[in-house]
Amino acid sequence: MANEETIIQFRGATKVYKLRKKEVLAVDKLTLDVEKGEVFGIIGYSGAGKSTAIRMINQLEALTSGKLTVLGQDVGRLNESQLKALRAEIGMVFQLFNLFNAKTIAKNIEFPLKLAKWTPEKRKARVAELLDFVGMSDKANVYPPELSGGQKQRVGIARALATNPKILLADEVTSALDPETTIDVLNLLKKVNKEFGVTIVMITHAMNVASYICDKIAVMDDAKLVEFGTAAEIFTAPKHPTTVRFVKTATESDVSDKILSELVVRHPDLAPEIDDLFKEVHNV
Amino acid sequence: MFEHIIIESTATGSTNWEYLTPLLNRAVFETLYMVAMTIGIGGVIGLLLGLVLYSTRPSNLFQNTVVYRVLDFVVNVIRPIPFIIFLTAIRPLTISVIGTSIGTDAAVFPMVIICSVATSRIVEQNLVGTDPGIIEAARSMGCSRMRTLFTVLIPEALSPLILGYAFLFVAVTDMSAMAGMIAGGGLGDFAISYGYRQMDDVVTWVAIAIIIVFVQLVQQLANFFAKRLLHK
Ligand SMILES: Nc1ncnc2c1ncn2[C@@H]1O[C@H](COP(=O)(O)OP(=O)(O)O)[C@@H](O)[C@H]1O
Ligand SMILES: [Mg+2]
Repeated sequence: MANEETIIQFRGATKVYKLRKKEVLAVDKLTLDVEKGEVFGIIGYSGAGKSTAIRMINQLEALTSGKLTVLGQDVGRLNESQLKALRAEIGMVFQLFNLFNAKTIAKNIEFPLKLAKWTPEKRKARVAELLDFVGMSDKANVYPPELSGGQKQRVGIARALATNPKILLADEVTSALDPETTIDVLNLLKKVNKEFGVTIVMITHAMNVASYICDKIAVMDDAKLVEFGTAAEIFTAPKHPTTVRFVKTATESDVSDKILSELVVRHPDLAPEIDDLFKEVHNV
Repeated sequence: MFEHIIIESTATGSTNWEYLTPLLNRAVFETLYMVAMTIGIGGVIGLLLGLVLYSTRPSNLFQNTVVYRVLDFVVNVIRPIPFIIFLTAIRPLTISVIGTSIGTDAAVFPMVIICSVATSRIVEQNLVGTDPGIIEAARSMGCSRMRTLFTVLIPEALSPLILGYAFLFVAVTDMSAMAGMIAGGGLGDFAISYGYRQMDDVVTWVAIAIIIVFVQLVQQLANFFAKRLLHK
């Protein structure tokens, strides 16, 4: 049994895409618990089924079989209005931002508030608050095409947080950003997690990103969950071959120093192992 | 026989504008009327059909293979028919709807049909070009399908849609020139009757000039708004 703090519970969750000629098994009997307040990472290669799995949480993809409980509700049994209510509790941020280009930054952030039927005064105050939180107050009346990638993602995060969701889904949100901006955005997500207690489920194919921000990491390979553990466990003692390869790429990356030092701060107990990794990276 | 006409025409000398001006005014009015009616009615029907075409496509908001296939087929059948043939071919339908098969309104009816069909394709193609991620974002916020279509998708595609409608405008003006075939009047009819048949090229050129100015005006206006809406 999952404990009371379990906010997302996959139980044999399976997704099969039926195409004209063949069937694609995208997620195969995924069983996983995400606890309230944690930053949960899903890593894996392209095509492993990560996006499909995360999209099950807000029902952008229906399950073919199995069960998924989110915030205490069996998502497979929700009608349209219950689903709408659930989606107001779950924000989502995307790799290519998916901002509404025809709407200003302020209107983008306001959109989910309109859907949730907030009054105009409350919407205005909330938009101002969010713009301030992501440091974009000066861009309120600008249109998305005028922003840099990092700025777009800040707006994406502000928009996803508008209705005070309990869960934030982040699908490759730093994959289109350069290393410096990646760190900025990850720090912003950390702040969201710490200050608002928002549970974050994030997908990445970059191990260094996962190790920088995630408390727990699930590794997916070929539609299946192949390894699961705390970030420190995964990083220092990977078991599955896919995980091993991921850890290796992380230590070879250009942002790895920052991440390794971050790991030391977060896991002082693992300092010697991390130090070894650091030496390995720099060949000393 | 032809020689006779040529001789007679050149014999009359310079164009009689005193006589032609009221006829030209009337022709301009008829063209404006036909184009406005066609774009007004056909443009709206076409927008709705285009939304249906787009949203019933596989993996789109209202995915429905049967509806998509049927509508797609109808559009494909009607669209390539040359207007001049279509105009005559649907005569019985025109009579039953408009009450007559000659005159301006009898020309507008087939124009509306062709315009609806052409618009639906233009709308569909412009919507297909919008980023599906934007729809996904709206859906993830709990935005209903209908609301996503009208408050997210259309605003996102507005700039190319405006240019698409400007393109249609030219096509509809083109169609309206054939209305003379069924006594529909308009600038095309004017140019044929008083320019071509009277061998008075100046009259034809005046009619062309008016159409060019008219089309340019609309195109420039469309370009202006389309650019403003791009926010780039
Ligand atoms: N809408 C879809 N229709 C058909 N197949 C899909 C669809 N979405 C994803 N897939 C397939 O499912 C598998 C998993 O995809 P995805 O969840 O996007 O993986 P990841 O996010 O890990 O790259 C892939 O083989 C992909 O081609
Ligand atoms: Mg993916």
